[in-house]
Amino acid sequence: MRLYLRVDLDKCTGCRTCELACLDAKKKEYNPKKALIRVTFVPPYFFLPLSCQFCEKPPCVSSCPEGALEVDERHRIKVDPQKCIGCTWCLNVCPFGAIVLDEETNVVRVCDLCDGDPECAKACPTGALELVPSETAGLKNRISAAQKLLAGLMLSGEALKEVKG
Amino acid sequence: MKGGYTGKMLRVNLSTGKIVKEGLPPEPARKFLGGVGLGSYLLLKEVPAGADPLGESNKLFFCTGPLTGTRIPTGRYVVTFKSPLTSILGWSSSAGHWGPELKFAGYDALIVEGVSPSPVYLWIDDDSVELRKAQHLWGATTGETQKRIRKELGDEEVRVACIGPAGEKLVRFASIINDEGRAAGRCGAGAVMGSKKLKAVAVRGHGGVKVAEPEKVSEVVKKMYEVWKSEPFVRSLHLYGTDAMTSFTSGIAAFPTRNFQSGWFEEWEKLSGPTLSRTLLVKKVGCFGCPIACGRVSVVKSGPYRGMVVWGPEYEHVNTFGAGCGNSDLETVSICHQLVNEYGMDGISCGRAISFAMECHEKGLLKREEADGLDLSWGNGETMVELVRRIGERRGIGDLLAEGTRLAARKLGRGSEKYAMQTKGLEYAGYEPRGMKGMALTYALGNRGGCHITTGMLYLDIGTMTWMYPLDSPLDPQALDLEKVKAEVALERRYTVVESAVLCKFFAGIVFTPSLMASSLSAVTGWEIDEGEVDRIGERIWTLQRLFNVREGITRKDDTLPERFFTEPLPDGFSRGQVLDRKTFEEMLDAYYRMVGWDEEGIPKEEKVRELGLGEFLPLR
Ligand code: SF4
Ligand code: SF4
Repeated sequence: MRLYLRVDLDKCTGCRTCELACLDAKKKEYNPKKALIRVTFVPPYFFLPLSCQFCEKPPCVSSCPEGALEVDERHRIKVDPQKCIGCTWCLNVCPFGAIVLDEETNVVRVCDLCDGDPECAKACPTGALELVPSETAGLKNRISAAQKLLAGLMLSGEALKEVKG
Repeated sequence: MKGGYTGKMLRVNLSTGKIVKEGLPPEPARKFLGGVGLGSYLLLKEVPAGADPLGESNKLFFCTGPLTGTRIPTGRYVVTFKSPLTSILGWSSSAGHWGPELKFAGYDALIVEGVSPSPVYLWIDDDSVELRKAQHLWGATTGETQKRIRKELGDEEVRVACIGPAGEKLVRFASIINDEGRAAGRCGAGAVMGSKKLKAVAVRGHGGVKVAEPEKVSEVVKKMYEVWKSEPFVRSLHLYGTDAMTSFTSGIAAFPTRNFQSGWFEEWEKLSGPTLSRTLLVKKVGCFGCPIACGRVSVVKSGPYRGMVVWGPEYEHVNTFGAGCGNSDLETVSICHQLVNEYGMDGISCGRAISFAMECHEKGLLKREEADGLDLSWGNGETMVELVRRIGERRGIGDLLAEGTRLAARKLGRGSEKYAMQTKGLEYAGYEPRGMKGMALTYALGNRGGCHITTGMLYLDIGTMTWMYPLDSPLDPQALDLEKVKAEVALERRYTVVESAVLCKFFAGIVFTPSLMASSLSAVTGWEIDEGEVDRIGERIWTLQRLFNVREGITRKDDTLPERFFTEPLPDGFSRGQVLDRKTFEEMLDAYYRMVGWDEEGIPKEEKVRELGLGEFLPLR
């Protein structure tokens, strides 16, 4: 089963608490450029937190010239610090810009979902981040889309809020 | 320094083009922390007495604080300067992400001095710092400027703090805007930037902020999250934005209406936070590391501005452009809000300038012909939007109103002074001091003039609370007594520390106890700071700010409010009949001066100044 972080775009306020929580857990220094989840502002007024999606066919893994990256049994990306030469080729190919080069060790770092209980999701004050299995990823979107569609047809905005809680 | 600071300041002289990296002086950092504290210290030290606020000798001190850029919310910066609106200490604070970015670039503070011969902007890219031509950006709105600079520098994550046309035109209450719609709004920082021909400061940083004791910081974060989640007022800020306040102030009829003729606006519900959420709101926005996310994005739904994306509106504008002008249309408020941001000016002062004009018109002091033929009746939305534009461009009647209400009234004469709702030149925000009497003290004593946020009094006066000044039972909003004086003294100190740390007054100002403030500072800096020391630092900075103002001629006579509040009882609602009693007010002032160690003219006594370690600034005059 593959888990990944689902983002609720309506809820995300762009506060970057997730970045800070990641830094708290992994680096003990507040430098957002080293966070493994990064929030991007998308005009006119959206914010998108992005981290590793644990691709089914991860280009980072297949393109590493040293074979330093591999997918482990829990479907996370494992970096072999012995093999990684810090060439940053994986940064180039990751479609989500989710890999960070650690300048102290010259080895790349990828989100490891904090052992299955990611700090960023726990810290997110609006509940915009949620760890979901890829199998059921579509479910939430489907439900919320259905609610919106129905609301447009027959419910007032107020009633919708009650439905959503 | 163990943590919290980068230890470096950047000094840019626009007259000579010289850029110098200096060490952060450790002793002032320990005594004044950063933000408004460090800024006020540098201002008093470096800007000569009687300096022209729009002249070469004025300076801008952009200061972050030790907590900026850490996980303790939120990452703010404060800019300190001599104000062109008030001619005394001016400071203004803004959040978003610009402050943390300056620190990530490696600087605790940026000092801007001199005047550039032609428009420029400053580009700080970690160690490499340069002045770039900005002729092509002159005249651009703040939104445009940010977009174009990011594009020009080829980096969408560059953070830009800039001025708009109002700053260029030296509107006395011009603001600095960063991160789309976050404003260093008050006191005219934008006009000072404009006078220096500095269009913007663009920052990109790749470094980080180290803290002295990471484990302790995590503990603080845990504690503050616990309080935050259970604090109803803060929750309502998340749900309804700062406009949540409309229900509170309206409830006690202290929502300034028609230029403070009343505190009761019959149609307040049309302006309230819940209405905003139901109608125009499309997004909630949080500043760096802030769980509250009081920021709003709205979209105008009808009329000529249909589709306009508004980074707001905020409570203060809901009051100044709403009830303050007798207007109940939230769309008009939102348009005015976005326009003042795009022009780059303070919506409090601007809104009050418009309601000043409207009242002068009502009282027959300002004829329609003198106001470019505009209909100045209360609530005329079209006029308001047009006036915002005219003020931002200093066009027609806008040129007079761009001076701020105090100076505009002086120029207009005809007895209009009594309708200029300000103290020391700074217009009041949305809290009626007859219905919220603690605010009378805060307005009268604020070191930047009639400011609402130098203390947390407004929370006490609406009957909610601030953990910065824990009380067993709520205070009576309508009482002006020693309890309020005590609260004023304690809160001005603690809030000054918040503004020097630099934290957000909605977050730290409400959910932090003094002891949590102390542990935050010590965890990050590694200095031993307890509650007593927090108050001490606050008192030191507050007194230092008063010293600056005393040097510029401020005395007891300036610690006051307009006649209206003492002679006209509020006409309606919960606060009906409420008025300030002159004698009580003067007694409270006496009590205040005694408590803080100032003489009866409001001048800090020499022994007090020495005791606080400010001896270097003696003699005073
Ligand atoms: S913490 Fe949550 S709300 Fe804030 S930026 Fe991250 S995902 Fe968005
Ligand atoms: S690092 Fe990028 S490419 Fe590799 S698995 Fe994660 S998202 Fe896919």
